[in-house]
Amino acid sequence: MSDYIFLVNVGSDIVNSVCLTSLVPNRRKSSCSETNFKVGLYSQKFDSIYWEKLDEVEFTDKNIVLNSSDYNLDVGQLVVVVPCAVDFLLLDQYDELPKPISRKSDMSPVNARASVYFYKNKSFSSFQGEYPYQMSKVKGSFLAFDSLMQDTNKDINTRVVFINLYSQKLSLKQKFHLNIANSYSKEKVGSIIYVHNSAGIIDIPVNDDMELCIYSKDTLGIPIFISHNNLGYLSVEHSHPPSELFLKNKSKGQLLLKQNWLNQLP
Amino acid sequence: MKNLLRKLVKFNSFLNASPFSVIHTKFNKINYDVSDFFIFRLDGYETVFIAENNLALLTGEHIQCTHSFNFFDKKGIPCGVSEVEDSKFSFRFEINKDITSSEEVGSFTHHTKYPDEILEKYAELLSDISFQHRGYTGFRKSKAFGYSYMHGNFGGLYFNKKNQIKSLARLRSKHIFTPQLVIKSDYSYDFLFSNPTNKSVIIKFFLVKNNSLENLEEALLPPFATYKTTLSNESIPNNCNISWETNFPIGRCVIFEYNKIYFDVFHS
Repeated sequence: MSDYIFLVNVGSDIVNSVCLTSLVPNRRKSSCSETNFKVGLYSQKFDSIYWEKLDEVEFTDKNIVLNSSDYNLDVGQLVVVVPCAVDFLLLDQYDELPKPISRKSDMSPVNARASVYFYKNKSFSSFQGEYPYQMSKVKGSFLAFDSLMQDTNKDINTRVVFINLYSQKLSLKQKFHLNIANSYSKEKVGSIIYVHNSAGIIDIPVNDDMELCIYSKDTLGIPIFISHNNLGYLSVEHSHPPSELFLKNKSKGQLLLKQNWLNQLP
Repeated sequence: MKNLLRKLVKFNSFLNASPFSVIHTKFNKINYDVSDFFIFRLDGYETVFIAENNLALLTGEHIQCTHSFNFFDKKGIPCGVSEVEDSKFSFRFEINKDITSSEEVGSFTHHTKYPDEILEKYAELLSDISFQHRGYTGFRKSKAFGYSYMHGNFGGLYFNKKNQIKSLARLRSKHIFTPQLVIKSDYSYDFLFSNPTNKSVIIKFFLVKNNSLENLEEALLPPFATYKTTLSNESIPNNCNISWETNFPIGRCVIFEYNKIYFDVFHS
């Protein structure tokens, strides 16, 4: 199992930063404690199917910190951080992203994550995040619920950043829809357009009574919920995928759940 | 003989990488409703929990259910039970000291129960799947601010037919866990661990500075206990890392990172 990391410009003067260490995240006591690797940073323009190299960074100590503000990104532009071997030659352009290396030193279960931080002035929030390589090879569909936007404080704005990454070769850049609907009535209440290998950004309408869901019938992705106000509050978290609602038969549970919802949603 | 040895070594590695009981998860039919072990803290923080109604989410319809919460104090002793009826897809549950018998820090589980007529109606659908509760816990310091959330990350707790708490989580050989976190000298850090197993576990913390390790402390967690340790900004150098050694195959914890009025919470 190996994973990409991502950086994104989410707008509203919020800076995204990621921190990676060369220390193995989880290992047996007797296993090697560090992985020797570097990272390549790649991005696609909204109208391009090619990944352009923005940067290549090696460890000078045990940690690498990367900031979205260092790369002159458009709002919604996604940068993919590709962990790779130190001697791997990173090309300036790809039509298919290199597979990230595994950062494990034994069979211990862990995803090769980074600390994904968001900063707005002095306030900050983070989670340990990654974009699994296996997930980046599938087009799929997406459904998430509003658990992380149920705050009754009207001064707080919630923005959903939908990270969509397809690492395989594209023949053209299609346009897709990210939708918000009333979970009870299944009526659509909002929609935006996004393209492959970008972040769809949608602001959530404040409504105490309405339960909401967010979905795309076109691609899968990872939703990040960013809540903030002008007093210095910032909270960021990603919701877990529907498969995590199930212990036995996760994939069947997720399939049934998505069928039940996506067949009813417009 | 060599092949047998190789297979045994491989099985041992597989076993040591399995956070849950292999017998229960691979060979037994798990029909229990299992929960992660969530943390609450009321020591200067408010805690809220977003409880998901899994059957309602599966079917896409509101379904009446009983959300059941069981609280444990720092030592792992049960300290409160709370039940709430609701039919929506998720329920926002505010935790206070009346519910936790005045305990300020501890852990809790979330389970759901459905009326018999609902279980009969969806018997075929539920014959093949079972639910787990991962939920979202939110913390805040001030009402002017919103909650900072994180999702559940480890547990596998359930109640058997005799209403005894049981765990799918297992202790294995010693593992070293290192979050992808750079310790900053102008911030302080609280690390909260809970033990979702019915055996005691020892945790050893150490700082990783350049190429040296500095032992910080060692703690013993009884079954279902919660432990908090703090790295204050006077005691830590800048730009170092922290690791811990436990017998958990995944030694995750909850980390609070703070500086003056600002704080962040995330799971490692």
